[in-house]
Amino acid sequence: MAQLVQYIFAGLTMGVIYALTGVGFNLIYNATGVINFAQGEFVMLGAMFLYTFQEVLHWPPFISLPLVFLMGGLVGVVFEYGVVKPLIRLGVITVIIGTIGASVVLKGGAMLVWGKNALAVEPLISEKPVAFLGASLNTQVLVVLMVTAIAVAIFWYFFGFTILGKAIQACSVNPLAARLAGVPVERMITLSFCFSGALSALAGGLIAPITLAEYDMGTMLALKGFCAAIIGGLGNNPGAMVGGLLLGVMEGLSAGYLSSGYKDALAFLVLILVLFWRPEGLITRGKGERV
Amino acid sequence: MGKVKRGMIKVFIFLLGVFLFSFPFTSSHGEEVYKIGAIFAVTGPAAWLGDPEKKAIELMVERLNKQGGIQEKKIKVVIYDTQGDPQIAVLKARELVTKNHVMAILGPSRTPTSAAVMKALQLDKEKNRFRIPMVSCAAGRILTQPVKPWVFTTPQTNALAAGKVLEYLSSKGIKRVAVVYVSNEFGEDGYSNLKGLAPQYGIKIVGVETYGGKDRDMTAQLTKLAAKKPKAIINWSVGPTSVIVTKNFKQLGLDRKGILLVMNHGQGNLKYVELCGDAAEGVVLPSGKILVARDLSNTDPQKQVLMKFKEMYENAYHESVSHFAGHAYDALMLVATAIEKGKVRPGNGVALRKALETKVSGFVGIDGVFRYSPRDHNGLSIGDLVMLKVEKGRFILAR
Repeated sequence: MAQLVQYIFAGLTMGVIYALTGVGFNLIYNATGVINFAQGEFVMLGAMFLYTFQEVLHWPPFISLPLVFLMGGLVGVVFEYGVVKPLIRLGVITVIIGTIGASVVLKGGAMLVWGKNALAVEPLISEKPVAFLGASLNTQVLVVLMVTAIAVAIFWYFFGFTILGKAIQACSVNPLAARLAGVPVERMITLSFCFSGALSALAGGLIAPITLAEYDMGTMLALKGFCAAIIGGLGNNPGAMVGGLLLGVMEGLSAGYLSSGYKDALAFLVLILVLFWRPEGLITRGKGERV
Repeated sequence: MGKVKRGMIKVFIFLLGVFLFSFPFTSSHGEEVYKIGAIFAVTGPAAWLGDPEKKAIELMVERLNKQGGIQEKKIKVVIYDTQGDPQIAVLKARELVTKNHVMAILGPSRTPTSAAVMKALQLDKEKNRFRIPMVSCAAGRILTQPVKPWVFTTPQTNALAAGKVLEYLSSKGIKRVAVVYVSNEFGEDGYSNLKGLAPQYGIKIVGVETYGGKDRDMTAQLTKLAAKKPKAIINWSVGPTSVIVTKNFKQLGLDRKGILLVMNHGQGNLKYVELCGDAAEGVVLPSGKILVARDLSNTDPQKQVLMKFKEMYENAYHESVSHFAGHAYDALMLVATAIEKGKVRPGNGVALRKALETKVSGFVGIDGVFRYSPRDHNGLSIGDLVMLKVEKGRFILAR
């Protein structure tokens, strides 16, 4: 029992991060139809920002974490203006290639600024593990779960109950109709990038104390986040949340009960299976179709 | 216009002539020197290896020459940067043998670069074009097992580190251990050595788990291993994963359940302790002696050498001495000792290899007391390692 709980929590920790990254993918995909290959670098930058604010400037967590969120948003906006806007007229494929280039640039830039070594970030609250059902939990894991829950609640409220949120959704469902209804589509796209960057940076900031911050940490996280988005159905935000958690828990359990060597293989196997049998994702709303 | 152009061409040809002719003259006019090449990952992702290696070489060459060189001839070391890249390493190695005409190569820093150079120059074949020895600062088993005619290494191998760990555990009466390692060449080599040597020490490996080099959470693996009730968990990896294993281990409270966490010789640097913070307290690991030079007993054969080098290095560069500086020190000093004892003439790589194999046994270096022979091109033994323990953020000798 204690072991099972331990495996599940190990999975949840990473799962939450995959989920946030997956939602980041979705936001940009919904706005532009582009898969952003630099999403993992947004996560990495979040970790690096937290390192800078907390370890270099010694600001307290309740200032540095929101600041990481804001900086992430800024990165998203700059990314849209620098990479996506100039290329979007040439087609989606061109933009996707552009994002691959941008990810290399961001990774290289981070290497120059923060160096090649892994950087340790102090946990946001005291590190003493707590016992729960016989399992021993890192308090940072609880922080990750809590902050993510808050972020998700805010986003749920924003997209479901505010005009601005609904306008963004309208743009992703039908840009032309949205424009006709008077929604400034361009601005909504920018906002999507802003949210995407902010969420991914938050994810990076949250796990930095657990996993260390490193300039090349983004690639694997992006892959897993992408898996999460696909499992949940690309473009479906609640789906990505569930997909991420599912993926994480599955990894945890397979490391525990099968062999740790198959952990990553299993994640990608599930991805392939989902793409084969349910390309629309495991969690679908069952209506509406992207044409 | 035409005149100016023709004039330029004349100047160019003149300069070219000066350039071409000055080369042979200066080198044949200058007195004879022992010309040695060195290639290290001075920049790039493995710069933390190459930088101290280069510094150690520069320091020791200056010192040797100040003392009058070897056999009254100066030493000249040409150092090139591999950036940790096997292709660049091969290019630079070729440049050393064809342009600089060195009689030995020191380095490279890492196993992949060393193996690439070995293959490119055919140092693993008795008969090859260049016939000069390479003294690598990398520890990979591929370099010395089986013995390659022209390749020597200075660092302690995985096999020695594994043996030391098992020796220590059995001396503590620990019979049940579990192993967790990173699934790459380094980790797998470590594990296969542990597995092979464990029976000799009466130790049983009750569980084995692996993880990827980019994994960031190993609690599942550790939980699984802990369920098998080992008395110690041995981790074999380098870099951030070793830090995460250490943190996860503490987080799971396995130390309070009476399990000992044992690392490998890759964690023998203060950076590891710094990244782990409190989680590293109580961790034990095998290591060369340089980190605890001061704490060694006065009867230790290496103590004097270690203290002297440590003082010299730290005075010169104002940074703590590391194993890597030691690997390069040993490579250079082994070559120098071989030249001296074998009365090797400048440029004679064949005689140098012979001297390395037959004349340097008993050389006291930083990584240990070397016993190179035609059948052993690493020459170290378990006694050259010590077990360290992390206490209050620093390394002490584990009793």
